[in-house]
Amino acid sequence: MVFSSHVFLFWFLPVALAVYYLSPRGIKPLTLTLFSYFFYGWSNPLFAILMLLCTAVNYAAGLIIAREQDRAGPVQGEFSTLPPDSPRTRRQKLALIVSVIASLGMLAFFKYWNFGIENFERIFQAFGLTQNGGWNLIHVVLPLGISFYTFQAMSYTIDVYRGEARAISNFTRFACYVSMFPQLVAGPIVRYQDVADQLRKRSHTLDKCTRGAAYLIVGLAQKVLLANPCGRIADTCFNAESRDMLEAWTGVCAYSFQIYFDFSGYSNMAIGLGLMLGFTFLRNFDSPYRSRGLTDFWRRWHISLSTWLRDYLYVPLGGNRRGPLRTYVNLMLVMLIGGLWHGASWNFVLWGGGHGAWLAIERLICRRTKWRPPPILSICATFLGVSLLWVLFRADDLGSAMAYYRSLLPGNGGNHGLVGAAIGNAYLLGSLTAAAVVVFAAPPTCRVTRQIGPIKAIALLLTFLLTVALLSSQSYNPFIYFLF
Amino acid sequence: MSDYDETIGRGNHSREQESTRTNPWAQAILLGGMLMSVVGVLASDASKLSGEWAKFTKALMGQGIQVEPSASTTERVFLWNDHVMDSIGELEEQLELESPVCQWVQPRMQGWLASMGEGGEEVMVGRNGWLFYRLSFNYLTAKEVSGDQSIPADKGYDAALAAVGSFAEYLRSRGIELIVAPVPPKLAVYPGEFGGTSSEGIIETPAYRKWVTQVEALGVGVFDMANALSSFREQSTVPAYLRGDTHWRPESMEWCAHKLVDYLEAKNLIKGARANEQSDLLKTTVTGKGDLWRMLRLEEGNTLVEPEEVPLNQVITSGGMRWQPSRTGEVLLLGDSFCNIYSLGQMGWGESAGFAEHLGNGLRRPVDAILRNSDGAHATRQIIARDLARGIDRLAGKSVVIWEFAGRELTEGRWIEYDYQLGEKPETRFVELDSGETLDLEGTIVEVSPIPIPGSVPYQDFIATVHLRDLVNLRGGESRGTEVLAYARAMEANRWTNISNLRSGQRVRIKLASWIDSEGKFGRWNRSEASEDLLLEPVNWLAEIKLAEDKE
Repeated sequence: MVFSSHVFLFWFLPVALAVYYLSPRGIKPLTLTLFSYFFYGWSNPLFAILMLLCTAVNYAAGLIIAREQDRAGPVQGEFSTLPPDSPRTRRQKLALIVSVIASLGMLAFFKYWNFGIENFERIFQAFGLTQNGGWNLIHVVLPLGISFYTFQAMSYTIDVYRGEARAISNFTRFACYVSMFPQLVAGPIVRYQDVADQLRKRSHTLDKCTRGAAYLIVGLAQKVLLANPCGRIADTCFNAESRDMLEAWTGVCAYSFQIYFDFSGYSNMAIGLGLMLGFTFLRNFDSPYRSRGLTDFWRRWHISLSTWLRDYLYVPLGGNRRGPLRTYVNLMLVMLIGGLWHGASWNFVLWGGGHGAWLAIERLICRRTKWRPPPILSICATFLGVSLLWVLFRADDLGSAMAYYRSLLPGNGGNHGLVGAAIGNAYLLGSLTAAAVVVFAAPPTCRVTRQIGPIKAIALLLTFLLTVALLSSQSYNPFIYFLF
Repeated sequence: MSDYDETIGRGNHSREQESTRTNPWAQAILLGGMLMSVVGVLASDASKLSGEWAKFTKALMGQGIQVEPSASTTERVFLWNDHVMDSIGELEEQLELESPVCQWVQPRMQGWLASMGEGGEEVMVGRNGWLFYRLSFNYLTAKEVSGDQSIPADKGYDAALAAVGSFAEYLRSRGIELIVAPVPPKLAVYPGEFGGTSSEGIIETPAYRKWVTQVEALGVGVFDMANALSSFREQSTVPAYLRGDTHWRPESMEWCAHKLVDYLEAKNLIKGARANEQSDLLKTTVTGKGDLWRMLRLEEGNTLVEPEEVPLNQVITSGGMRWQPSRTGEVLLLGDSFCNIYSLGQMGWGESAGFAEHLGNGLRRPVDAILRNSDGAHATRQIIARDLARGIDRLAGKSVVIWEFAGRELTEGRWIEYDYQLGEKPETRFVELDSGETLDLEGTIVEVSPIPIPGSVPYQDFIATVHLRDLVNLRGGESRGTEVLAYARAMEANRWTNISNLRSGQRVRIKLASWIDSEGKFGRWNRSEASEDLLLEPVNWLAEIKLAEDKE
């Protein structure tokens, strides 16, 4: 079920909110968990069992780790935090290892099995070894949102082990944290310590609900009014056998806008829905295309993932504490893994590698010189570089990506002007222009929704009506981050 | 926010909370407005679509799942899961299609989008009221799919070449020549009306040109429709294609039929003598807006596409009868909707003036025809292969087979390979009625073949295949078999019939008739067949159907 669908907006959401608000305070986590499992099972009921398994493993690990040192037991459903500096017992270490291996193993199997087998096949074929019917005896289907909820569940166990979060004894509350439908399938990746207190106690006010509704509308509009038309342009350009230089550059810009509005739109909807349910999630985007460098970009793009990778991968690897060379290696490694997290394909690995290399070079330059380019120049250069790397992200395979890069250069053949004509109508070009204006000049959503007066409320309501009206007439409605 | 713990989490949570300021009027407008619109849609949906939710609930409870008694628990769980997922898909489709508010809003929004040059999922808007099929755009611009491991083996140019090659080889073994005649899409002939820069000639992809060369190298004739349409475009004052439809105009179709006659005669492929007289042509006109306009789902009064009036020449035999294909003709035409457009009344562009009619008239010889809308890559060959396997030889006495199909089939179609072997009528457990026979049966639905969503395809009528078992003859006596396959009208005038509501496991009562009696009327409609393993089984016609519990 996607947020920008009829069944979600007009059936699931009103029913879920009504039942949630009518539920007594003590039952609310259970209500939310049940609706979240229904939401998740809508794509494939069996996947819900997988999520339950992941939840149970991490819950049990947290319990084992906490009980080992807090013999007094939980107070108000929570154990006390472990002292960060005290040594951990063997049992605690084992519990952590089992939970991390179980979570990562599940992710690895469902996300990377097909990719791994494909590569084995290629290697064996290169040596002239083939097997009748191929090596891949099973074709694994990727469960929706598995990359997000495994990271969330793992962060809980790791934080409990590190003494940064209190373990929870109430399974329903923990299941509610892992499965909460607003951020379940496409993030933001909410860390347990950020919502632990809210899971226990949160307020439901008209202020919060109004702001949540505003966030939801802005996110929905970003998705339907901007990401979808930009996606139409990008699809037309990327799917074509050939395109001229102007069409190719238009396609690159359109894809940059599509992926941003698609993902930040979803995140805003998630934040809005969270607020309507009484939760406050951290924001996931902060005008990333206005960054003055790639380091700045990763502070503003998919903030929940970049902070997760920083805290659970970059820092444990040594971060920047072990000298410049090790820092560059760590950056590269984190970005390669980050690339692979997005999808099981060499394109994503290359994309991550490109970002890692750029981050390392940028850091090196910053160390060597104090000169900084003018903001406008650095913003343009960052946008250009990030957009060019998106080609790897969007193209079907490496060959297509290289062909696309070639078509960005002058002198390549067009397609009888058909691609240009297909993307050149007033609606698509108007949306592309509007997307550019919003990216580079509009205030961020958190500021737009901070203070809402009657005029802004009317504008938001009209936007909502226009968006749902468009939704009913356009079936082209892909969600990029659902694939991750 | 009285009970909100301000100390939680990171500082910016609470700071953000504190800075939120919403005016009471704003709260009333925004929350009230949203609530009213969401609940309004929900209420109007519920009044019309509560039955769909009831069906979904039944699926969730596991009703209607066909489980073999020997199935393991795991198999049962997976069956249930598949069943529920199918129901979810159907429910979502129904909600979006049948929601009263969506039905009111959709044509108006689509009209607004179309006025800005944006079409829909299937239709692209060109200049001056011209509409184009998106699949044709994909065919002309998309990457070549041949050799791609990720696409099904029966799709793409390589599959098309193999399918044409094996069919030609079989025909050659029986002394029959094969001529293929792919029809280029409207966009290839009129790119300028789309906004393209190519104003001369007809757009051909390099992959297509290579494919033609490969086909000719196999000894198969290729009748160049593109060339014929190009010459028509040069000498005619009217366009070769309808503005709001995927198909050609009658004038260009007749032109191509005559060019094909010239081609066949130049190659001296037909042995039989010509009749002395040509058939009479009855002039008439027909007006319509077209399948593309229909797929855009605009308001009836929308003026994006003006109705087009086109002249028809209906072919009347010397005896004053409508021209009909003849099984004795030595030319067999296999074709799709390009042959049917002015011949099959359901398509909305008149009757008795189609491609087969004009080909027969031009040749002055009887012509046999197997025509089926859509699926030009395999549908007509499938009919031949199935008939052959059941001992019916549609190729007996033929010297030429002309195979017309839409050019885009080369990338979009399924080029299924068939085994062309003349067999004998096999023993079967399936009921088969002869002409004039009917049977009243009660049975359990095993499967209904796929049915398209109305408006998502260029055609507005559709036939599905229904598979039933556990038969009981309602008139007493034998059921003449243990299972039934029957064609049934699943979509008429862009509306689903009750066939679309049938689910596996339901008990139904049917009136079965012979397909032989209905083939003339419904044989050219688009249809989906039962699963591959049932392709050789006899099919009947489902005249009536109702749920067994709906007893009078």
